[in-house]
Amino acid sequence: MTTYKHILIAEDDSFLLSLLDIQCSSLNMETCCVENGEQLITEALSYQYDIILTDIQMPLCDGIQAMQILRRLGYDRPIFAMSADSLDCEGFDFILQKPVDIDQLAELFNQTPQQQKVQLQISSELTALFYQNLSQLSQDFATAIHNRDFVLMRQICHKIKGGAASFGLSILSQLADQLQQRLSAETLNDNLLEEGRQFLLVLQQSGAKNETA
Amino acid sequence: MRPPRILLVDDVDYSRQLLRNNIMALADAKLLKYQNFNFFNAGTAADANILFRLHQPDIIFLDIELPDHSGLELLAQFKQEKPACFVVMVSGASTLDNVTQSIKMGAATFIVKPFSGDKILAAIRLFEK
Repeated sequence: MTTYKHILIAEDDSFLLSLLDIQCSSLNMETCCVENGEQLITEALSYQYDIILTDIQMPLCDGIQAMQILRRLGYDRPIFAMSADSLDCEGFDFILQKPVDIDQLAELFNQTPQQQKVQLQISSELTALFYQNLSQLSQDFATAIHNRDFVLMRQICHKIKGGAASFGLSILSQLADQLQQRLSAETLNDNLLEEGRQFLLVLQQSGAKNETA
Repeated sequence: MRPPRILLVDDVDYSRQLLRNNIMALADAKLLKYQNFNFFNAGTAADANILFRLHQPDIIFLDIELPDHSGLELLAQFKQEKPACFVVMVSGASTLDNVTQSIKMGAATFIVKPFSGDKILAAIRLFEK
């Protein structure tokens, strides 16, 4: 089985991003693409990537700031920059001149080692504890909907978002994330309450699946 | 070599348990310098304060959203009382604001939930450097 190196590409120009995505994929890299420095930091901190390739000028947080924040947080994996201007900046492992030469990129990828991957260990006791917690959260969420308590609904979504993905419930985690964002951004309204009810059904089904498993 | 003391601050039981199990699994797999750790658990900021003063932990995994207090305020307090303590901020949402605020207040690193083996390994290895 071939194991691909994982690359995180950050570029705000959608055309260039697509081009880099295609080029890196053709070099047998598994790609993830983001469009600004904030997304770059979040994704990089997942520690899934062997290489980061970033543009310099990007919205929200530029490539240099993102690299400096990551280095300050102890991120020690390779970060390559791409720049149309000459750039002298400590912290990058290499600075590529734009337009990026694919042969140079291929050589850099070949020189970069694949990072060790460590699986998360989840015991059956821990899984049982998680589902016990999920059942309680499900009951609390039903009460929060009944009482139109948006603050409690948001807090519960936050807890589910953080925990569910570790236990293989990625869709539940994503739904919790989406609902939490809406609960933070909007004031009390019936549409949101209805979304809450739909989320509760998914939440209850997620707990029930474990009981029948 | 004295085992490092780790304070786990999170209001969710299984999150603390997951961290503890995985740190020990990394040690058992000989991926860390230390073979053993002493763990202390806090589900609230109030409990974290008591355990912090009582045990003077070397590493703190600190959830940013606690039921009774902001994790960021607690971070500032810990760093003031023991500047050398190594604090790993943990959050379900890594906004740029959260990350930069954590750095300003002295956090050593930042873990975005969900947990993964790689994230936990990176945090402990950073402490061991």
